Amino acid sequence: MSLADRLVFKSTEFPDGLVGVGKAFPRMENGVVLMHEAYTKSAVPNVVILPLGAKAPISASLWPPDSVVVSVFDLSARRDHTAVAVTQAVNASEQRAWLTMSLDASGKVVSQFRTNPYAALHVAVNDAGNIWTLGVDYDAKGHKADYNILREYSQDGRILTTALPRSSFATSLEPATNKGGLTGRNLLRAHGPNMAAFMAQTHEWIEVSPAGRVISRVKVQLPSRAGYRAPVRWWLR
Amino acid sequence: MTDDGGVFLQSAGFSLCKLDTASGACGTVDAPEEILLGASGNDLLLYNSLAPTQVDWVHQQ
Repeated sequence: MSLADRLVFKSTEFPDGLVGVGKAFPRMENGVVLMHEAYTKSAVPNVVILPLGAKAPISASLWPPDSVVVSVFDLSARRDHTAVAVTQAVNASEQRAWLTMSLDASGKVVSQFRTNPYAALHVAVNDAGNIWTLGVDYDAKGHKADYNILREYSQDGRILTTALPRSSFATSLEPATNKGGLTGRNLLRAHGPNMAAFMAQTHEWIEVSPAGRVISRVKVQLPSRAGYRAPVRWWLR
Repeated sequence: MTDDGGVFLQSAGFSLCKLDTASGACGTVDAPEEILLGASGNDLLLYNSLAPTQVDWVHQQ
């Protein structure tokens, strides 16, 4: 299959200034585009949810009480446009809380739970309702153990499943681009009823069934670096 | 992820490949200048950071 055989059949307008250079990398799933600020130092909107076809985006401010800095790491949406964000809040004493926050379709925070010492850096949700995350267990990191883990939570914050996304005894990992490294972006996405993570550092694809069983763990053979070809949009002409 | 189970990854150089989740093979689909945002149904959504007020939909099969 080649996309070159497929024409752009539709374009959707975006509000000016929503995406582009200098903005957080957007994510699209279940008919909504999700964007967030990397960090904010006041209770300003730091999450934007744009249902495709809507005239205006929904803005939300994720700002737990007593915060002085809030980082939004990732955001995922369900088909009903409810969403879940994984965040880090820091108070004036530099204490950190890693919080998973659920938003209703209007962008209002309806629940949250703390995951310390585990920091969820990526999140994915599916229609079943549970919350899957990919992140770092800082206790394990301190003991030089495997620390990048997949973890499933119920909506009220109970740990349901934990899985290692890479082989044991792998060499230390370079950070992903969204963490200041050069190895590409880690991803966590719903894949039908399953959850799937792509670990950029190891080019590993790991997929977990709803029951928590690892059903795929493969080394992805990415294409060699390629140059640009004609933009898709040109194929319209 | 597309509704038919297709998994698309975009690597450095913008190469777009379709992943076989059983083997790890990721055959090149194309190298568009646009950035892959995601999928809806079986259609892919791409945008160009130089033209950020418009995103384009492309059919895939």
